Amino acid sequence: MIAIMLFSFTLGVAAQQRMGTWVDEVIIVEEPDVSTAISRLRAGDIDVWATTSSNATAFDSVRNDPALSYMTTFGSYSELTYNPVLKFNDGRFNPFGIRRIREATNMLIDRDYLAQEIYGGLAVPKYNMLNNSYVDYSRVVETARALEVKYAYDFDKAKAIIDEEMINAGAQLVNGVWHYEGQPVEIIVLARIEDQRRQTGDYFAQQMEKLGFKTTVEYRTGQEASPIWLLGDPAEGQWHVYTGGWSAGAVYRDQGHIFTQMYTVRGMASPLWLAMDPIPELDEISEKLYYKRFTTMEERNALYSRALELSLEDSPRIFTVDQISFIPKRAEITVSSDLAGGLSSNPLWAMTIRRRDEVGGVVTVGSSQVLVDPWNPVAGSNWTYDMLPIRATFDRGFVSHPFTGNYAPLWIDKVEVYAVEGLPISKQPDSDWVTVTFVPGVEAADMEYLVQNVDPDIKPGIPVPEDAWLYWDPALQRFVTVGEVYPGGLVVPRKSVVYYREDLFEKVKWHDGSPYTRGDFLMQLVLDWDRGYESSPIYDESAAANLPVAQKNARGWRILSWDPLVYEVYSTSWYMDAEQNLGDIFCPMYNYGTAPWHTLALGYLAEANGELAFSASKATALNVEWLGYQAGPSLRTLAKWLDYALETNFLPYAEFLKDYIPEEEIAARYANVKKWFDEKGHFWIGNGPLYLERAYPTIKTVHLKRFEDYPLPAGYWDGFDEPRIAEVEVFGPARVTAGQQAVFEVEVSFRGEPYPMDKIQEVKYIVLDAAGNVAYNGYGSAVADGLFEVVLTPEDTKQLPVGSNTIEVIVLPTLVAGATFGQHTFVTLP
Amino acid sequence: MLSVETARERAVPAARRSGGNLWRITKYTLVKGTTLLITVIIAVYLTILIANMGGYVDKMRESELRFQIAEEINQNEELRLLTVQERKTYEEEVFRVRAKQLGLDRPFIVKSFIYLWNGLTLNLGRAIHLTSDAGSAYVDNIIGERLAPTLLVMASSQLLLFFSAMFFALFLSRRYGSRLDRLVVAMAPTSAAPAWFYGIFLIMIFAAVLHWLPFGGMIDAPPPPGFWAKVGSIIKHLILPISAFVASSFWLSSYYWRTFFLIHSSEDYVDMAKAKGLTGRAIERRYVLRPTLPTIITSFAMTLIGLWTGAIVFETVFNWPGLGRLTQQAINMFDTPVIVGVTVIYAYLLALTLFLLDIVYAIVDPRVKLGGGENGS
Repeated sequence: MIAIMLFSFTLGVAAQQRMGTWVDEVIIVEEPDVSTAISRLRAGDIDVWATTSSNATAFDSVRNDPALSYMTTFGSYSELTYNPVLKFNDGRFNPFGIRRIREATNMLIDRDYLAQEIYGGLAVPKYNMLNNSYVDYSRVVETARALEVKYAYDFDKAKAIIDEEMINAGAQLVNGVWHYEGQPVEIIVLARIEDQRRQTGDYFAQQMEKLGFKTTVEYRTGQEASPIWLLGDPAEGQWHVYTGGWSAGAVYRDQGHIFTQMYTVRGMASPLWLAMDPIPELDEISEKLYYKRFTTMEERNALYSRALELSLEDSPRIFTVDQISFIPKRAEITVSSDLAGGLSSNPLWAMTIRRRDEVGGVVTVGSSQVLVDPWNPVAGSNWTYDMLPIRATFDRGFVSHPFTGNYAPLWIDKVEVYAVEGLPISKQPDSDWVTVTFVPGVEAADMEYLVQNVDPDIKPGIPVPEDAWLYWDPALQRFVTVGEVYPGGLVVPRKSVVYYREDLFEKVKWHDGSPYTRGDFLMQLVLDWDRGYESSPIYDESAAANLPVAQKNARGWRILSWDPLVYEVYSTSWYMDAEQNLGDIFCPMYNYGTAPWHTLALGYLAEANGELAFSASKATALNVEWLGYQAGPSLRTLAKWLDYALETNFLPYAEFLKDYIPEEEIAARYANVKKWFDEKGHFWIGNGPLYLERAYPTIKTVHLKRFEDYPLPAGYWDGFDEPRIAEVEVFGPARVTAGQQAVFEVEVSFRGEPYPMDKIQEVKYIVLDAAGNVAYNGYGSAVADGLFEVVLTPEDTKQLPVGSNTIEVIVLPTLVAGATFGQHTFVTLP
Repeated sequence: MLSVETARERAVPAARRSGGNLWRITKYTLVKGTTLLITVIIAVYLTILIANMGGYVDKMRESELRFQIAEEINQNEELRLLTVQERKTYEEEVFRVRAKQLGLDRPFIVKSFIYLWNGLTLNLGRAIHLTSDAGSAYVDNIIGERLAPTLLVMASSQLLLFFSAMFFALFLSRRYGSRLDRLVVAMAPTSAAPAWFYGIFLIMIFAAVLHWLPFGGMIDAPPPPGFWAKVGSIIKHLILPISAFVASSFWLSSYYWRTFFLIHSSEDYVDMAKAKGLTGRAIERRYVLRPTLPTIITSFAMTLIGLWTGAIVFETVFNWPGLGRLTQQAINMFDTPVIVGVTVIYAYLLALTLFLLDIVYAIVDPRVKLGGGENGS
């Protein structure tokens, strides 16, 4: 007992003092196969396999092994895309050109069968494009549930509608086969072969054959199929149905764009999308949601609900299942994983990974690929496999919450959001680091752009100060100001004032020991713009494509204070979640990692002298190597330019940066990186909790070590190791008499413990009648932690049809984006 | 091309024969060289056509690229603000730049001849998608990087298998009908299973259950410090792949060579040698091995150039970073320059080997003469 107490005490002290990661080292090794990965996990050869899998057999073996456990992700989903052209060029008739037939196919497929039999239980039925783990599903859950009931599997109903429409179109059923103008109607199903979509294609073809259609299933890989369905002219009739799939890299907070993307001609410049002919109302609502032309959440929810209904009526594609993928690990390992993107898209994985209750040690992570492309923070690899180690080596000003998709502060201290009145921006109740202030807008000359992109009702905007920096000008070697470009003034719907932590410059250090300074973010901001200008020594055609758009969208930013760092940013875009209305200059180059100004300077020199290139496209054009800071042939060139930089005290963009980076800092920085390179043999320097000890390209291994000077304590992100997905049970009377009050208790828990009341956003309920129609809905009320109450008043029960009814309760916690459902069936007596 | 020297030829005066030999060898070299070059050109061009599905791969790339760009726009809040026309312009501009990088701005037929010419001149250029593990885009670096690991595992396995099976077979051929011989005959069908199949079992036993040896890879991760520690680690990682390779082919190879030697051991001249009272070893060396040398050399040469291609599944099972896996990746990604690079080097090696083998035959076997086929008969 004493020994245990002593051990716990020692562990506690160690945990208190320990900064950075719980583990000392992380080794990432390549393991492409899930079955071998599981064997290696069992043998203790690896501790986590960071790649997701949907292999049901492998999942069972993990689930049944007490030495192993798993995490789940919900990012992928499957659908059936229809060719919407009614008559092909050769005169063939396409039943999917008829809207009602497409709509009826929603009832033709048994999604439960697909989820259970074809996907082996690693999927849940899906009726619309919303994932029920994401926020938008929760916002319109009543409509979504009602539609799920309406379009549930009903073969006979589907057949009746399709038969009726086929006859209306002039088709005839001859010997059980549909004929059109004397020819049998043939359906070509283009089935993807990489996963269960192959069997889904077979299943759909069988269902169509039962209706009397002749079918052909053509099996193709995604690559082979895409020229046919995506690039080919749908009027050529090479296919009728395509078994498509989509995936998400993060938990989405706002899927307002999704109707435009999935159902309108604006979704993609592809012949298929151009052939779409959406219901005009759907088209109109889609555009409103896309450009956020609404002023309240109620208005948005109404638009969204209506769009959901119309999307199923239109059905140019129907959704089949949300896939559940798993990430296997050893049972004693705890680590945070993003609900949509898994480990690799979660920046918190490095700070949370550990052997349960153990401090220190080495953890080995398997990944199906390792070191795919060169790492550089400007335009290097963005493979998820490379992102796994890269994200452990740098910080941002904030983190994206792995379970809710919302933002949480890291190096940002607080954010003040100012929005024009009428924008539906709100914050989570526990986000005390964000304030939202609505201000009356003012008129300005540049109104047209605002009106075009924001709700036409919100004409006035927040004025942008004339001295705000707008974008980089290579000729002037400085940022031009708003006043210079927009002499008539500029207004925006939103501005944010971002306050960084007071100890930012004191605490944050780069891995080579250099302190973080203002030059680090200024260099990245300049570099990002400069690459797009033809006059720049590092001009890159791929960056130039973005330049006009970026210039047009730029609305200005200003540094209000250098230390502590405070800046304000003006923007035409805005987000419904107040937390997401921030701009982060701590780490402007998030997509590919980040780097201190002095290693970027070496890359700048190498590219300016035509020896390396930040982007793959420029490397190809110049026939030079794609710049990689982590390993490989770039290192020799960078080392050469390091010597030059040391000799000349080189400062890129000196005319501008000399005012922010003192001479002594330049020399110190290059000395630090020289020492680092001599010790580690690479130039990948970040400021995250792990640093790159060495990358071993040929044996596909990445060796990461704890950064001892990391300023945040281990345990900073405790609680992020597991999503607190609520478990819901509903208790109540088995019989309800119409006209009498009925009370139902809703127990909400997590791992057997009551769910804290303040962590539950709301509890909704819907009552379904025997036919599955939504009779009515309402909200439950909190009684205690983990206990809610739903009361059906005598007036409510009076409306219930006699017979079997079901109350379905939807619980929305604040700790995860998705809702949890519970239900109770009762009999209503007259 | 090859013929047994005839008595008539031997009767030709020496000087005339010397000039004739030179002409014959030159002519042989030209004809053989041209034939092989044409074969290589056809083989490489067919590879280009097949690897690109006759140009369909370009369409696949184009559609993937368009989809990718559209997705990027849809996921980017700033880009979503573009009007329909602006979006279209933006999409086209980004597509143009990226299409150029992928070589989609030129018709496939033109590119196919560029690939061919570059391949034949060994100007392997840049890969389209793949980079070497160290991050280089040059095909020679990509291939060069994988060559050493492939040679290490394949050469160790193949050479061990070749020599052990051949000498064991020679030993067996002297013990025809013995218990050991019957065992080899009985075990030969076990080679129906490929090396990777044995590999899976060996991994299950020695890595997953016994934990004696690693699951795969070439060296411990991270590699141990010190040269000898690294060598030790590599040897540890080689044990299972080599064992799997040898286990899968040893019995069949031994059976093959044993039968081959048995046939040659029953030739009349061997019986004659036995009758003359020569020792068994002398008979083996002079009357069995010598006349079979062309076959043995051919087999050995083919084994050597076979090392170049690696073994796709075998390397995948053992997670071995070799040329086989590289070829598989290149095929999956339709990376034509890499596919052409691997193919053209193999084709050149094969052509050169075939050419040299003819010369070697003439050296090791006095019955064989270069280019004797047309004049000699």
